[in-house]
Amino acid sequence: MTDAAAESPMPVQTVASRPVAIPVWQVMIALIRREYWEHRALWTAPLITGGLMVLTTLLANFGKNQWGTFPGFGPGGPSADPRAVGIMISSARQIGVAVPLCIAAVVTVFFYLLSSLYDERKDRSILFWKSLPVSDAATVLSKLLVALVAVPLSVFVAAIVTDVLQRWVWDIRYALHLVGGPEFIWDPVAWVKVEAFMLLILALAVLWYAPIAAYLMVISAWSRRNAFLWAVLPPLILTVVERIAFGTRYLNDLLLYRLGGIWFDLWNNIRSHGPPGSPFWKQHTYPSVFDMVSFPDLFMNIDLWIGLIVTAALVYAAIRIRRYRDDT
Amino acid sequence: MTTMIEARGLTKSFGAKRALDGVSFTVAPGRIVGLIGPNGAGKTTALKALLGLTSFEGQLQVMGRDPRAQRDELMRDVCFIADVAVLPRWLRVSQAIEFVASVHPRFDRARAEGFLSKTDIRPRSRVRELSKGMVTQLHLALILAIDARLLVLDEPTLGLDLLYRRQFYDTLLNDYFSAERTILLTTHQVEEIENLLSDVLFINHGRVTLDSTVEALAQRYVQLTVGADNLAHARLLEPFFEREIFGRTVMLFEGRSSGELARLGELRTPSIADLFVAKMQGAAA
Amino acid sequence: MDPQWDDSLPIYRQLRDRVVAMILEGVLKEGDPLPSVRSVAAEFRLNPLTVLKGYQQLVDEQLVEKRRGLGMYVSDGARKALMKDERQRFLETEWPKVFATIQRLGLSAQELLRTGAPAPDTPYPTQGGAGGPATAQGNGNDHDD
Repeated sequence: MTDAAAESPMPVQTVASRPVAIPVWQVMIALIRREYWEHRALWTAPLITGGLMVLTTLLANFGKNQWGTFPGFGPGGPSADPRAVGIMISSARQIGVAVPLCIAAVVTVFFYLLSSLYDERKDRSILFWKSLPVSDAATVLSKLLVALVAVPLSVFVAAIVTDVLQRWVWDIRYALHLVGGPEFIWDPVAWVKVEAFMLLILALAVLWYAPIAAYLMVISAWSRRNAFLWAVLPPLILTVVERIAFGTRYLNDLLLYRLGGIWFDLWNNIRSHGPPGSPFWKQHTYPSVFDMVSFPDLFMNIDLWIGLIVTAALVYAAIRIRRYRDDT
Repeated sequence: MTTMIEARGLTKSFGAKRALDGVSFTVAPGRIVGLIGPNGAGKTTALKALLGLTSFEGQLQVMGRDPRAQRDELMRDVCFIADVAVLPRWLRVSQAIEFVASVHPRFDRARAEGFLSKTDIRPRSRVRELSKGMVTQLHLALILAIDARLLVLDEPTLGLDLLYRRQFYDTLLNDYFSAERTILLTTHQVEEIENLLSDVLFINHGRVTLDSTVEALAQRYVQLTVGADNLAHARLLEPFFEREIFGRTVMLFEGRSSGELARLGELRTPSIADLFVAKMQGAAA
Repeated sequence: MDPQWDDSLPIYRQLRDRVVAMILEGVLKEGDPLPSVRSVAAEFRLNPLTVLKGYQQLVDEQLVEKRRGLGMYVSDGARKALMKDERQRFLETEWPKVFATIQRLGLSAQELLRTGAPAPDTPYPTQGGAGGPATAQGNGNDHDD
């Protein structure tokens, strides 16, 4: 009991020494990092999907059952320019690489959003998060950003990386086996244009599906048990009820539209740009992929913007539910 | 700041049940306040109200702010441990430190790491790999490294063995508490903390049954141990609690001077634990 | 529950009594600093205000003094003053009872000194000495007043 030198306690900060509040962007980055720490699938899904695709390419080119030339679309009509066809096939594969990645991302993000505001209530860790000075708004928005910005961007990057890796595989094979054909033509300008094209389509899709993402977050914040069922069943049931009770299909059509409308729009847009009656695969006659679609028209779709307003309302609801809900 | 917490007519109902029923109290700065009550008394509800985690009726000011409307601001000056088991199980120790450092302006990272270096906790471990005691150590290390003016602890040592409990209070008193800080804690183990408290609040069935400084308790309450010969006489003085043990009777009096009672037997100041039991049983009777 | 505290006496008084015992035993010498409030609070799980009250009691009794910016220190002459009080109390209240018992049992002074000698590993109290430094053992050495 005779030690006189006691450890000094933590000094209390006076007003003068009080630190400045932490900048919002720093908080958001910390929150986004936390999401990735918690949900590994967010970064492993693109990685694994891309990796599998590269592996497949490796096997297809160097494995036991090698493919010959790429089973492409064929030379096209009498006026087909081999180089243009080659670029078109190349671009098609560039886009094709993105498809599995997008599917994996959609599945991952769907379940991510359902658990985003649910898991923390189930294991009561929300009491830890709420003990820190991070607003509910920042928390909810960070999760939305992960779903609508971070994951799509990582998919985009993964698509590029996978595409580049695949091309290297083909280039190596080409160099070794002298197997050539139109599909091995690589035009940098066209490549960049196609990537830009994909990025815009991605942005469009993200905006279009934002209301669904927000809806999933609200369900996640609100449901007590089994968020999945609460997300999926009510719309389904209501659709059926509507059909039986009123004989109408408004809800049905609305849901289908919201789920797939953007692609329908895109398809119509592309079709409307070609000479009447020209099939899709004749588009290689165009100098630039951007001539195929009219992006301004696509982005001006009024339903896109209504959807964004609905998104904002749903996000606000999710924030308020998280703020005031007490189920601990 | 004259008062840290000011509650007036706090009420909260869950359906028909009133978890809090017109609770009023004040907490001054620099105090260590014990909120003591049996299960379901309303302790946790009261704490949640203070922290803006639940809605309520009535008036409540914590450091001059309303926890309903100004929660985000409030959380910069308050720290709490709601339960020792709320750290997310997937979180790594290093990630926890990283996160708190990034979002809390008053977190002292070096200090937290200093606390942790005295434990067996490894930075790469996840919370689910730690024992219960280590999880508490981690949570404490994080919280005590935050320069908050009010610390709210809800049963912080529940389920911990003795070593961790001792360490907890040791660190709390040695490294954290000062005249500018205030601690509000609830616990079932009244004996463990009764010497630590400067103020007590007894709560039962959503109502405050005792609100006093520990010093005032010594003035107001007296415990008399009396033999059979003086028993009847002592009862005339209206004890509010009585218990027999080994042929002698222990009585508790409120508001009686020791002069009146000294002749009848042994006098002492009742412990907070004794008072708690007496008040609870009195209420049940 | 800390089993060391006796609930018949306020804790701050018991703290005061402990410090007094330490001064008397020579564990705390004059000019020595008292352990800090918070380390005592942490060690015994007490509210720092309680510890402070105990220390304040010692200041009021002039056994301990507050030195600005440094802390609490045992005052010069504290031991002397305490010894004086202890002696007086012993002689006035305890000794008469013991003396009465000695007389009743018919014990002689020599017998008492012989059988009442302290255990071999503690030094005999010095007789008539000018007062060397106090030892850390259980008995207090005599000092001349």
